[in-house]
Amino acid sequence: MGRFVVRRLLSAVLVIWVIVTLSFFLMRAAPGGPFDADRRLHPTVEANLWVTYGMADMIRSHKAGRVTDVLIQKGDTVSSHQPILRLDDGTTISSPRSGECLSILVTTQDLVKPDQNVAALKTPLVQQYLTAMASYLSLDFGVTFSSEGQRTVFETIAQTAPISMELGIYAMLIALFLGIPTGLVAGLRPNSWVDYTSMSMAMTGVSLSEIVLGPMLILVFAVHLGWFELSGWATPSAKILPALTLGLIYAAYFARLTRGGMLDVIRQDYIRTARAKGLPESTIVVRHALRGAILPSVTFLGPALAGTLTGSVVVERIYNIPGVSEFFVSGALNRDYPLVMGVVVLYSGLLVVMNLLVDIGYAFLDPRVKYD
Amino acid sequence: MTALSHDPLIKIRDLTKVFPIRRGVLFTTTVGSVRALDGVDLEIYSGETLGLVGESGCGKSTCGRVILQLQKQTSGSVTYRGIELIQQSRSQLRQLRRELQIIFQDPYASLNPRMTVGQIISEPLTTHGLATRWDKRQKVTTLLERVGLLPRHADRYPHEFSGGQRQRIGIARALAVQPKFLVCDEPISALDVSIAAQIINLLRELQRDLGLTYLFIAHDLAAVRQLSTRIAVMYLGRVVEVGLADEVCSRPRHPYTRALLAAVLDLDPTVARTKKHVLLQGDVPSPMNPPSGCSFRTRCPWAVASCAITRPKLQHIPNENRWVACDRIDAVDPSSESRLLM
Amino acid sequence: MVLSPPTVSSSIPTTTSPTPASAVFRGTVVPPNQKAPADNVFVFVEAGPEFLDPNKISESSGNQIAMNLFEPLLNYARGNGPPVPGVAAKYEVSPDGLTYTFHLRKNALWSNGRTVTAQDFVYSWERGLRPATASRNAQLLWYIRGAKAYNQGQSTDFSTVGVVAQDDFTLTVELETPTPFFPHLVCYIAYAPVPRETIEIYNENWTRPENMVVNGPFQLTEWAFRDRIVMKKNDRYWDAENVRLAGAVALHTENENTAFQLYESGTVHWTPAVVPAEKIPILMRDGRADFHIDPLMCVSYYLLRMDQSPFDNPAVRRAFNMAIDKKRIVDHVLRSGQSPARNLVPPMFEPISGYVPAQGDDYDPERARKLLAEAGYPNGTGLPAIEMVFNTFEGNRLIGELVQRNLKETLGIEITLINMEWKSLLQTLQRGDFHFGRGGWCADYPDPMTFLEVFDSRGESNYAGYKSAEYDALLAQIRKTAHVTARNDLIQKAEKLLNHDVPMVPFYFYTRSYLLKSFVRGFEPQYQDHHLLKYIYFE
Repeated sequence: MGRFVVRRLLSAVLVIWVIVTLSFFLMRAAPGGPFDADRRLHPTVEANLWVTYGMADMIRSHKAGRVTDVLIQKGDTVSSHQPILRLDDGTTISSPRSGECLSILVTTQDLVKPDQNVAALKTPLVQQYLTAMASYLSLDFGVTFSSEGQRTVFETIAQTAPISMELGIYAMLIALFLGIPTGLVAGLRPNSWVDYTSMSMAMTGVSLSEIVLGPMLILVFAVHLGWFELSGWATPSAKILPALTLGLIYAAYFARLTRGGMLDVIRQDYIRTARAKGLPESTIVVRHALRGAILPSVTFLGPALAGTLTGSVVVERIYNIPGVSEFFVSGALNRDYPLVMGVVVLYSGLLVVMNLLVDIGYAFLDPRVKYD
Repeated sequence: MTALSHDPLIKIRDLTKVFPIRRGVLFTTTVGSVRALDGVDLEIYSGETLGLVGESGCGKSTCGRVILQLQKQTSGSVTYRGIELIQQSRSQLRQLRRELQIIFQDPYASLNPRMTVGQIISEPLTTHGLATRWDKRQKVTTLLERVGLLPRHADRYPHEFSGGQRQRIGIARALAVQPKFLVCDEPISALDVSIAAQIINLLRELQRDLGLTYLFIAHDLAAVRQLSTRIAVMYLGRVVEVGLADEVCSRPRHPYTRALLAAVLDLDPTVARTKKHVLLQGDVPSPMNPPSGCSFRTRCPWAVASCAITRPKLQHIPNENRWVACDRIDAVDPSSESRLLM
Repeated sequence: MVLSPPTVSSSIPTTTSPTPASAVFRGTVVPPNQKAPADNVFVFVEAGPEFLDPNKISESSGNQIAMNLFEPLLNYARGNGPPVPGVAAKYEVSPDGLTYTFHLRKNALWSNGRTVTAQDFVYSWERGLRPATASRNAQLLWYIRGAKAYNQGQSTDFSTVGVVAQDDFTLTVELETPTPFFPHLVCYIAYAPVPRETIEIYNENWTRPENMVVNGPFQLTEWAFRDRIVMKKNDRYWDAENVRLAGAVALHTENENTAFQLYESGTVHWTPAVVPAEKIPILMRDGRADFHIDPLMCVSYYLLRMDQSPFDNPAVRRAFNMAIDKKRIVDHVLRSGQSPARNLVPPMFEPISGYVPAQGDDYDPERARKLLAEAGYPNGTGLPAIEMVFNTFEGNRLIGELVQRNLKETLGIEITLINMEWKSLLQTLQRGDFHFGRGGWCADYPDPMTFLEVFDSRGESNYAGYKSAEYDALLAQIRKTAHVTARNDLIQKAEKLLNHDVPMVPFYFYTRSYLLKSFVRGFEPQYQDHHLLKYIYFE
């Protein structure tokens, strides 16, 4: 088992590395840049931003003169020593290295002075990648673009992820304590009214999704009955509805999975054997059927945990919860590269760890599963 | 062979088990029914082995399970030492299960894969208060040795054993509660021939040493014949012939028994197969819609029109310890094998 | 700024002014649950800023908070009046309109007790322009002489920038060109002072509540990230005696339905610009007195990419402009008091500067068809496939479909709708890789130039690719002209040129719908949605 865990952790590192690498390049391949906005920034301002965040650097002129020709355009890929500006004395200013031109800061007829910025070149992606990986190794994900560099990714996630995790834990507790017993009862009495009632509710739960259930619960319990707070995460009463919303949906999944598992198990010969032994029905269910019946739920638990612990965008938005899940959406939509990398590592790390825990849990539930 | 006492250990009267067939998901309707047991009468005497034979689907396994009340009958009665089992409460029944045990056909599926062999065997011990925490281990060891396994096997899981070994575990488990009566539900049909023989020998030894009574269920006569005191033959939920094992096998009286026997006796498997096909024309009729009168008439070479009208009852054959349910028994010549081979 | 997608532009409350602005909708039915809270704390919803550094703020939600924490030289008036004194008690302008001299009040204090001086402004503006600060808002300071060069790194000597602290309480500012709206610009958060000593100690953490030193009417007491921002009255503020709120809370929400429920439950007193679209007709039908629709200094238009066929043909562009029945869409679909547009510049400048916008072509399907036929596309035959791009958002799709149907009916043209994710749309617009696209503009400062400059040949947001030497020359002239009437004439000329060239189809002028509890006073409609909390009080 120890060797198995070590091996899995090593492969987890590899998996996360692959995910991070893919995300890194995919993010940058997505159309539009991080600083594109409805009001387009002046090339100077944009160049300042790119340089500040280490994704570009400036080309400086080495002498004075008046620009007669700009030889490249924004977006051009220049090679090392390629002339980019012609001055009135016939000489040129060339690029010190190759790269994609981010912006040109001067135009024809402008006067340039020595050491003045004349253009900005994007830092090659591979170089950005290597620099980024080096800092990721020390868990330094840099600063978020959305805070204009005033918040680190680490701080942003550290302030919000615990809230999402708290919500996720409550939701998971509701899901497990409601879903699994319901599924067990339904599975033990298939085609009974208990089964039909609970499975209809579960089916409704699965199809409803948070987007309907959330506002419904708010309307009934917060607006009309006034039992709970409408939104936020400040008081215990505010936490109940969001936890229920997320928990009920997952409870529905667990109930269905457990019912299916129970139906499978209860038909097994070894359950008949257990009856033949003269065991009380409760012992048969608890000791012989339960472990087999919850196996499908356990399989689902890994991704479900990773999913709930990182919060639910829908639930967090509906209930106004300051959790981390919003960043999965906004980070990507805003092309906030550092933030995206942060949440990608958070989610993939959680997913890998949860699946590992589930695999270990499996070994306890089913001795036929052997790890070595 | 032990002599038969006159008071049966188990007495079965007019036992019927109907399985309804339902359709629909939310609003189910019963669209038909299967009569797995259709008026079965049997006695099982203390110390004997009653072989119960028939093709798959004839209701023999159901019969075994209803005797142990693992399934409840639709009507009829099963008494054990004069106790009407259907009238017992759940807890009374659990107490009786100490004395009535079963070994299943599939040694793979019938053992909980998530428990060690020790747990499987000791669970009934603790349930019935037959062992304390301290002597549990000792008792498990004794049982394992009794069935030819090693004490260290107690800490292993079922999937680590071969089929024969698993069946031994199943037997040990059944023996744990010191039963009086054991239903052996096709215990060897999933096993290789050599392994099956070992299990048969084990069962025989156990019967001799512990004075057990067996209901030995099998689908072929050969297996049953070695072990049984008496044999009952079932067809479509009915018992068609009962008698001493030697007599039934050497001189079958019911056409169906004859057909079964003819299939078994030939040692050349290819011949046996063709012969059987000749003997038993057509398929077993659907148990949902059994033939009227004698249910075997559709495949019986001796059948006449009257066979379709009345259902033949088990009749005692004079001068023999034998009962047969056939109205044409006089027409069926015990020696005319040729007729069967037409 | 242009119109962001579903994000929410912001505002902050003000007070009763003698000149009630032209509200689009005012109900009379006061709903229950309108009791002023005893604690005198004003609660509103906000999209939740992630940072509050005045030198960097460009998002409206940050502006909404920070404008109450940091006070610039002048303040936005309550309502739409001219700027009122802030840290500067008064100012003078040189006759050529190029030099402003601000006289700072001596009783303006930082919350740490230090006096606010002219040097604080020099420090702040230098910080905003420093390339390493990488402020997106730096461009708003480029009106100051030498500011652009400094921001571009062409000069590293701030003495080349036209800002001088003559003494502790006198600040002179030299501009590149006469900028009649400069007093309005000075009200903007980018011109606010920042506390040098705090920044130098705490660096980027200086805006955290425990570190932050402010000079505005309110100070930060709590900042629960993405949850709430709590402010209390700053007792050291020079005008504290006129600040009547004890404090204010900005609750974070990005869900307009949640905001609506919070408002209806009484938790929140103001939902700036986050009224769910489906609630608006109900609120209007009920005649709710706490539901408001105010005009905004914003325009929505369709960009026509001028270097691509068929919109390289001016007749086709004019035909499209005349073929869209803007009034019908505004009245039957938008239904929040928007007015159909026939030109670029919104109509509210007349009372401010006397500018009367030049009206362009009206809806005229007959003439549109004629123009299209004359351009060689009778009944739309021969036109290349035309695609309309817009960002993924249900409202945009609905309007797009109406325009699509409208063009089919009037011109017989079938256009294709293409929706894109926001950043992809921006890239498409920037590359000019489209025919027909949704666009818009909101005023940065209350002057027609903020709209006209969008279509400058070198303008960053000139997505239509409009290039007119005549127009550029007019803009240059406007920039140099200080005389109001002459300037208005030039502006009108420029607008006429736009109306003639049609680089975009003006669509409608925006409004702002919001809910505001009836006990809130001191809040006036404001065209740019600037509402200072210092004006607000309860009654």
